[in-house]
Amino acid sequence: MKRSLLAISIIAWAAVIGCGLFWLTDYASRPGPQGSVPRTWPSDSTVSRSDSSLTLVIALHPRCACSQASVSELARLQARTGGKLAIRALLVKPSNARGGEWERSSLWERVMEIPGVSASLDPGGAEARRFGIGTSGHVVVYDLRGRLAFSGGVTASRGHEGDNMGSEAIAEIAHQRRPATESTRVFGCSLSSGPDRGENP
Amino acid sequence: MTDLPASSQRADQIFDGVMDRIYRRTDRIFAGLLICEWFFAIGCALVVSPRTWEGAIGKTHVHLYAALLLGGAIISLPIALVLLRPGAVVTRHVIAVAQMLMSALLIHLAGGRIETHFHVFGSLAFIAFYRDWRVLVSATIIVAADHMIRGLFWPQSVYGVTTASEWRWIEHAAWVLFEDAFLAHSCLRGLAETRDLSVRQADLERFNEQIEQTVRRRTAELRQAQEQLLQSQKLEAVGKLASGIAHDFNNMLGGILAYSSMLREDYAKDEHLAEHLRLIEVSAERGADMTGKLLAFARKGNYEHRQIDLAVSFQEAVGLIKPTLDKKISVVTGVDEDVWPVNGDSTQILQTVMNLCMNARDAMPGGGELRLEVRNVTADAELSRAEKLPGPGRYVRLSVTDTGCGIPPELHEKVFEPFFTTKGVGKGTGLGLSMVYGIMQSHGGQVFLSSAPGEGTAIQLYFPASAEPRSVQPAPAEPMQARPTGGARLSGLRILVADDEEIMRTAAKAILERQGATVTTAIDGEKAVRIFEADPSRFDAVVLDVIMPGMDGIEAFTRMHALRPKLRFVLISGYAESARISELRRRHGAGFIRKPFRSEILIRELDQQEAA
Repeated sequence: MKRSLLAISIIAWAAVIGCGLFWLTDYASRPGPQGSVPRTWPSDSTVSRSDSSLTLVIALHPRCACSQASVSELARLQARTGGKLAIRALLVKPSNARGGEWERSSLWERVMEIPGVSASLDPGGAEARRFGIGTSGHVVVYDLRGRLAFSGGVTASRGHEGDNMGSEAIAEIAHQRRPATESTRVFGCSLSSGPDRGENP
Repeated sequence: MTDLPASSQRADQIFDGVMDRIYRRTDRIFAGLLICEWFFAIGCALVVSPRTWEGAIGKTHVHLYAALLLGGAIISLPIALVLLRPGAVVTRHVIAVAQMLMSALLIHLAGGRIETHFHVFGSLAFIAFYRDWRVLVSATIIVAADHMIRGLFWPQSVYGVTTASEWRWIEHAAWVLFEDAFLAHSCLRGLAETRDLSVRQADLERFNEQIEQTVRRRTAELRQAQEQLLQSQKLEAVGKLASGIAHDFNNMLGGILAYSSMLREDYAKDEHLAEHLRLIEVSAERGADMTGKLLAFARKGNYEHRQIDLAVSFQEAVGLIKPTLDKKISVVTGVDEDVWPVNGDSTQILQTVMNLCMNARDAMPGGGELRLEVRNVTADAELSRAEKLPGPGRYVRLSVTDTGCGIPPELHEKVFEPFFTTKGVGKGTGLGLSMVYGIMQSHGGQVFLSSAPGEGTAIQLYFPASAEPRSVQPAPAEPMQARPTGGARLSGLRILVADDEEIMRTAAKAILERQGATVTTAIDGEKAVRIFEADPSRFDAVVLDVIMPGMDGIEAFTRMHALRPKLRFVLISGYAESARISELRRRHGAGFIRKPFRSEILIRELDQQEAA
């Protein structure tokens, strides 16, 4: 292999890989749509709000691989706050989803393993829409008086575990400290394919 | 260990060879590892994140494309380089970079799990297999650059916050550097050990080579010694045969010469008959000369052990040979100023030089140059081996070099064999060089022949220099004038003659009785002693053959001399005068004559004894 050809090959190789990594990182850092989250607990919600602790509602697409990271972070958050969070997980089954056991996935099982979690199926994503959630992994936290304390994701990027601002903010709120931020970007699959994604009903 | 630069060079070669094997082997390991990691990445994407969703609509996840395409791209160049440029510097650097990029991809595909970050540290350890700390630098630069770029453009993806310091990547890189420090140290230690082993191996190889060289040299020396031994044994066997024949032949010639000389005296007045008898004598003497040469070759000749100056013998020989040479032959001589003395027989040396010069003359019928030199030579082990000398030491080299027709290599060994000659029929006896060989052997020296057809011949005679200090050369004794023959010169003398050869015994008796002596004969030494001891005063002179079966002439002489120290003794022998005989002559005044002899020689010797 001649030196010039070798140099060209190395440059081309580096360029291709650089572009590939950029594309991958950019994709991972691209947030999903964030709907309009109600400032107070939606009165028409069937989800029960806790009277004794913060209530955290998370909507999950049962088959979203990226949300595995959100569930992992949720588990860490619960451990970190000492179970001070009343977690309500909504496993959204899209309205046009086919199959009786569509929503039964590893994600459902992992959610159920987190202490203090109350998981329920949300057929068609009606309940998620009441909270203005359109992206899997979106977390909303309401205080004892039903006021919105936090809205956003608990991962730093798409499907990426590790330190993130969302978990940090929720932990601060749980410890009755002022969070650095009250909202973060959400990374995950879209809960619906229709035009009403993330919109409050 | 004299050849240090060569050893260092060899150590470098071994070191480079070992390192090249390490580089190539590690390249192959990484080629396999990268392929495995690629498959693992694809498998990981297929299992963990095969699809992404929008409601109920699923599509292939970007991770799968990334694993397949980006992973494939990452391993493509290193694999190509492993195939095309294994062991090259660029190959291992590209492999190191690819391995780190593969770490980044796997971490990404694994969702940034902290456990997957160990891939980075494990990869660095693998990269250290190269024992090249520079490769660790390339890998570390990729890790640091990855964190720096992500920290600048996507801080949340790597630090979890958007407000991280732009220098935080240094903290991450520092942990990598922490590991690098140990790995680099390990690489340098590994290199030092490899270098040390290379030097040891080079030393070992050189030692082995020296041993092999020694074995080869010793084997060659042994082979040469065996060849020399075979040649010596061959010449020894030929010499024994020749000397046996020469001895018997000598006795026969003795009879012919003695009786013909007596007859010549008897028929001195008949000129015709006297001339015929003279020719018989001359022929017998020529035969005797030939047998003398054969005996000289067989080393049965004299070795006086007298210190002589080779330069003097040499000049004497040159003086004799020069007038006999054709004018077309130019003679060049060279003699060292202070030639070391040697022990030997100047007559034999003179004979040797004369022989060689005659050969040189015959080799240059059209003229040429005859170079004659006498040089002092200090032979080291190498020269000693090359010229087959008895050993290192001081020698006087007498060289006779001609520009004649030369001798083919295949004849070099044969020319010293008796009766071998390249000269035409009737031009040479083939005894000249064999005599030279015999004389040199008896002098403890060596003959070295160097010749090629058309390039002339050089014969070098190496005489061991005398270990004793130089002594004054005695002036040559004035030849004694023989008394005129005829008449009863030994009248009244009672002589005991002992010779095992009947012809010689009878001839001696006849010669002496013709001169008026009363002769008693004995067939060997024992009988002679017995006769003598019976009445020691009975004899006025004793003639003893030196070589006799049982008691030889020397012992018989000793026994008789003890009884009659002042008695006249004459020793006779077919061989030349030996050191023992010389001693007897010197100490006790014994006479010596060489067989065959004319009648007047024996008479003269007894006559001289009487006069003394």
